[in-house]
Amino acid sequence: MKQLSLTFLLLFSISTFSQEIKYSSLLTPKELVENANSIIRNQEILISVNSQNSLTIKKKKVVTVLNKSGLNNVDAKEYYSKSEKIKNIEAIIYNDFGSEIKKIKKKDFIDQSVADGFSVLTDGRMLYLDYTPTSYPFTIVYESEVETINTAFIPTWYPIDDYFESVEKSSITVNYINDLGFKYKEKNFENRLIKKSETSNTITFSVENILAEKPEDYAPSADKILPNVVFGLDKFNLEGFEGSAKSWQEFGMLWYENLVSESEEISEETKNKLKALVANETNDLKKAQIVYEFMQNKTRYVSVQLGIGGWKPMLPLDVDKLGYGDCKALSNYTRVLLKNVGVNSYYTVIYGDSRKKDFEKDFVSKQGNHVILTIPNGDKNVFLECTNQKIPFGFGGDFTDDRHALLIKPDGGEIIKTTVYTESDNIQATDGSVQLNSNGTINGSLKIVSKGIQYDDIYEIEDEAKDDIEKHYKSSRFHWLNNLKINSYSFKNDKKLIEFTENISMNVENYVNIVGNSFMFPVNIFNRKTNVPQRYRNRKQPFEIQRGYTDIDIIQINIPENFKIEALPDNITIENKFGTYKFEILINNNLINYKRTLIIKQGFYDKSEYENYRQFIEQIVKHDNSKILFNKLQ
Amino acid sequence: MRILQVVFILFFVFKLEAQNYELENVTFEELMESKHHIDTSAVASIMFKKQETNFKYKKDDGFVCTTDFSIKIKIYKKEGLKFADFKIPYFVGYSNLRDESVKIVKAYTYNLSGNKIIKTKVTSESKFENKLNEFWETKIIAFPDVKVGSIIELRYVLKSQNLSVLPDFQFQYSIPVDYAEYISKIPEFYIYKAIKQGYVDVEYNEKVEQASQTFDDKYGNLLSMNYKQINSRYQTKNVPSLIEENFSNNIENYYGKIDNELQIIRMPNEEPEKIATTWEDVTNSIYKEKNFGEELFKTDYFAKQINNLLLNQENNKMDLIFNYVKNNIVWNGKYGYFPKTGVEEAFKNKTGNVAEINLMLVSMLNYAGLNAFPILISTKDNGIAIFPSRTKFNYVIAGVELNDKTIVLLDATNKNASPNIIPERAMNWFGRMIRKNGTSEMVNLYPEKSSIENVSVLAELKTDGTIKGKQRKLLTDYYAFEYRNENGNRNKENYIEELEKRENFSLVEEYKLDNLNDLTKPIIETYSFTSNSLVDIIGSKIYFSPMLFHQITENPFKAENRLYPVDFNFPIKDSYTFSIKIPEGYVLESKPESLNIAMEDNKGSFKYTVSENMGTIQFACSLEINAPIIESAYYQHLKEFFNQIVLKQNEKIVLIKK
Repeated sequence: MKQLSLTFLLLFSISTFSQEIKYSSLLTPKELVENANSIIRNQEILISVNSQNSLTIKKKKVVTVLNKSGLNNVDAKEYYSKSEKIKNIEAIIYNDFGSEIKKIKKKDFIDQSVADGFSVLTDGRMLYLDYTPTSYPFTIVYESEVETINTAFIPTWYPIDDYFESVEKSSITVNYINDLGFKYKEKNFENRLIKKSETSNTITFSVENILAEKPEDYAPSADKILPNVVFGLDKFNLEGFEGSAKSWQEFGMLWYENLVSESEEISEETKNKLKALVANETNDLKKAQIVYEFMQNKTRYVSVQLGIGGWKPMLPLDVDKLGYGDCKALSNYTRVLLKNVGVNSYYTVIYGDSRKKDFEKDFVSKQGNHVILTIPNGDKNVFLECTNQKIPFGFGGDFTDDRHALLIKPDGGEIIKTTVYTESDNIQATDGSVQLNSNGTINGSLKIVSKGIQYDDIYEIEDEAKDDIEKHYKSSRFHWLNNLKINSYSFKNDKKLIEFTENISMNVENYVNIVGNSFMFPVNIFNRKTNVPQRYRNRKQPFEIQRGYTDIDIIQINIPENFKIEALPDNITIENKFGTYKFEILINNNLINYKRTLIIKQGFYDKSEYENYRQFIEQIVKHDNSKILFNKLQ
Repeated sequence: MRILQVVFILFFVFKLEAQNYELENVTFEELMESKHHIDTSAVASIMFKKQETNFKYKKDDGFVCTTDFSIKIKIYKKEGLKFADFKIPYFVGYSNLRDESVKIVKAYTYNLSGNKIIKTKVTSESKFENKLNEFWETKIIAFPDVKVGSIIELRYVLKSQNLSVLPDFQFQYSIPVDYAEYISKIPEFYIYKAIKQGYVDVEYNEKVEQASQTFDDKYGNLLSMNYKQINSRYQTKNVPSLIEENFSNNIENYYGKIDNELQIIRMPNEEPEKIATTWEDVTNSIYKEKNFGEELFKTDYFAKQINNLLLNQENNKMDLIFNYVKNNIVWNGKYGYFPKTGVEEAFKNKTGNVAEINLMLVSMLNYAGLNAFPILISTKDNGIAIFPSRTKFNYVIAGVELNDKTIVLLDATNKNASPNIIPERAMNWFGRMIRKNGTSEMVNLYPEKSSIENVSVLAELKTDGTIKGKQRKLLTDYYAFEYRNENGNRNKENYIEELEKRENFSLVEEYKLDNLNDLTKPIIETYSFTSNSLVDIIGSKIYFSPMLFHQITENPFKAENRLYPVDFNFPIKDSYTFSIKIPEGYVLESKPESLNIAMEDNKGSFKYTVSENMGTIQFACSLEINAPIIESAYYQHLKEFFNQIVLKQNEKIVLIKK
């Protein structure tokens, strides 16, 4: 390839027809087409840190789009707001042979609000390209320039940022002025050929000829496996607020002073209420729980992100009056409420996502997308999720568990780790008794107790309408039980123990497969694994089980007097690094005791382990489908 | 037409007891109420919704329509708090009318504090405005101080210069509605037609009364105008919530709702202007629009290409032209029955909206001597155009009338479409075909012809429970169309891996796909599979379903009742012919009995037979659904029909060791 592009360079300098050939998709290297919907022919990002208050991002991206699915990889869009201006945005489309077929100017880009399902309101807007290709492949040359005052964020560089996309050439250059404390961090560079060159005030990374990858189940998130570079400044600007911090300590102090502590006023009425509520309580955590529940019943989550409001919480007095706010506002409000009853707590910045995402501990910069509250409590901090009106005190569920976060204390910042829920915390215990009738129907009553992250998965059902609850059991939880009829259900939500109990009474007609006199009875009625993970001929990525869990099912099955067992599945125990599976049957006259234990452990594994894991689950699926054969005596 | 009668019942007259449905009248009892009196699991309810439309005369704008909305909502559960974030979208994209506007008149939250009712006013800090794009803006109200038990009230006024439709009156939602009322006071100059959708009865009455308005003329003199006006009143109460089930089309098409559409304008001393009273009026007026009719008669822009295309071609002109448009003009994803940039531009740029592509197709077909017409359609996500209405359409396709008077439907916006195979979005009950003289007729958009899926398997069962086999699957019509849309672009290896996962195969080999790009032929997919998950070995016996991995394992119809029709989109004929070799050392002990059932009125049928011959199981099964839509009256039959299918398909063949 090298030689080829050199030839073209020469042509370029001595003749005038260069452009067209350059963008012809006919010249795409063959290996880059494999598995690809699009090919980045050349991407050049140029970031200039002009001052503490000015950052320019220039992009030039040449993409050959091979088919319709590749169209989504073009990403020809830019965001803007009062602080971020799009100075230039344009695109030119070239056909297969490299001739220009269309030029799209700034005014032809579509202007739209970025208000999404989450944000009720934001002043963020975007311009995006709305182009209908008339044939494939085609090549698009997209160029943009955005200037922002927010130097607190320098975009992270992902040379590979889409699946099914190969990269012929891609680079990023950052020019910076020296007294702002420019820094960067490389991640996942192992086994990747990434070139780097550096001078006293610029740095460039570049890659060439990266083959397209496809998504794989159980793959860790992109930031854990794909190469990327994060950039930052010690001296930055955030929506007009200028700051300087070299350590988390300094950074946290700055944040506290400028983005948290402005006013701690709340209404007299609320103060009096709080006083009355905690009057007889001396224990700090118990006080905190009362205050937390007071806050939960008083507020709801509404997101308003306007200007600096995207970073700074609404005043506590406003939350007090309006009864709503976003994560910043509600966490800060709760902090002030707690302070009023003499309980200390800290505003805590974190990445909120059910896919765990960590703060970069060793890279001091503006990070996170969510705020919670931390009550210091010896070596076991208590974390409060303030945007959820239903969640128990001190429980954040899978949205904020097991990750590093930044405490914002008046005397500085500190990185801490949130609660880890292991397989011995995330328990679902099912106790049931079932009557098998001689017509093949079963009647059963179940008690299911869920804890830890398994609590998080179920507790909200309590609040749903009856139709939705039945739909949950019929179409999701017990989807294999055709003709399932829920006779009654009741729930107990123990927020103290963080334990959710479901009591369900049900019957299932035609549960048993009857062949003449034999009855085929699937012994695992209520908890089946039904899907085997996909087999990959050639797995490329490591795999990850994000959270472990334990399921224990103990079911007593009464069988009719005149049923004789003809065949029984063998008891089985499988144990390996991924977990444990046990299947046990004990017969006691007309009573069958069935016990199933499944433990899946949290883990991050090499790709070579994937097939073993897949086979483990395949075994489980098979045994979960085991049947007892009965004969009906005449 | 029979289906339609089931869906759209006429207005019903019953007496509603008078109650006080006014704002700012919240009682202690209402705030204390912890669950809805009928639907006890409801997360929230609409205690009442009232809507009133008035016409106001302005000297510059003429009549402007103002609609006053009052709504009172009770929150029962935390899940219901989302109803306290209120969004009101309004249209700002008219080319010749003023933007619509929304004014929040009042908004309150009510709570109890001990025995005291606390009323909180919504102030400007909780009201927001957002410009979504060039067509729509939204007013947003985040009600303050809302918790479980709260009641919220909102009154707002929507002003619009667009008189061709009045704001719709929706009275059914995903939460129950206790009372809903709509009053319209319309000057005699405008005659509207009310169109009701859904299954909820509505009481209706009207009276004519004298009305007057005063306004300033251009010299500042106060003038007054006297006229008659028609006051209509619609009322309903205790409207249950409606939830979406499988095969639903679009649930919003079944919510209770009234649309008012302008039919006649009759200004004093002027001839009445008919807007839309009959389908003839509707289609005639659309046809007369410059944007529509004229675009259809342009031929110069394509004459050369089409002449070339048809050179020395006498037969297959329709297919040639249809393929030409499909392969040369790409749909830009936009709907509409009016061209946006015009057919000529679209032809030149090789891309256009639905109207540009399909109107161009109609003109080309006519140019070639065929008898082609535009067919106006309302897409599935746009609701059903049940009564004559101009505004309800948002899509257009082409229809070709053959010598035997049958109509062939063509939609060139999808490359995989073929004659009479149109995209699902357009398959919404029926369309209106406009003839050259402006008259029109109803055209059924659902296919009558069944789509076929033929699966044959030749397999061998091993003593360890493994089944190895070869499958051939043939798909025609809509089955093939769907297959091409979903998989046409797939990488083969990825497809195979997904297939293995979906069917739980341990291996797929010798994969072959025929006719992916030849739309005139059925899709034929063949492959060999190995599976360990189809068989139970218990003691000396082997159990398996002869359906192998083609079982319907769950009844898709789980709800006890259903109010709205089941939409299958197209009739189907599925058949399975399998031959499965019994392993050495085993013999057949028992097999499921044959079954042959049919639904009432021949809506569907199911056949199933298993036999054995010389150590090989011969299995045949077929499922036919003979109508694209099954009315809700048949729901219980349909549910039971599928129940029997699921049961039968679950039955096992038993082999025993010799």
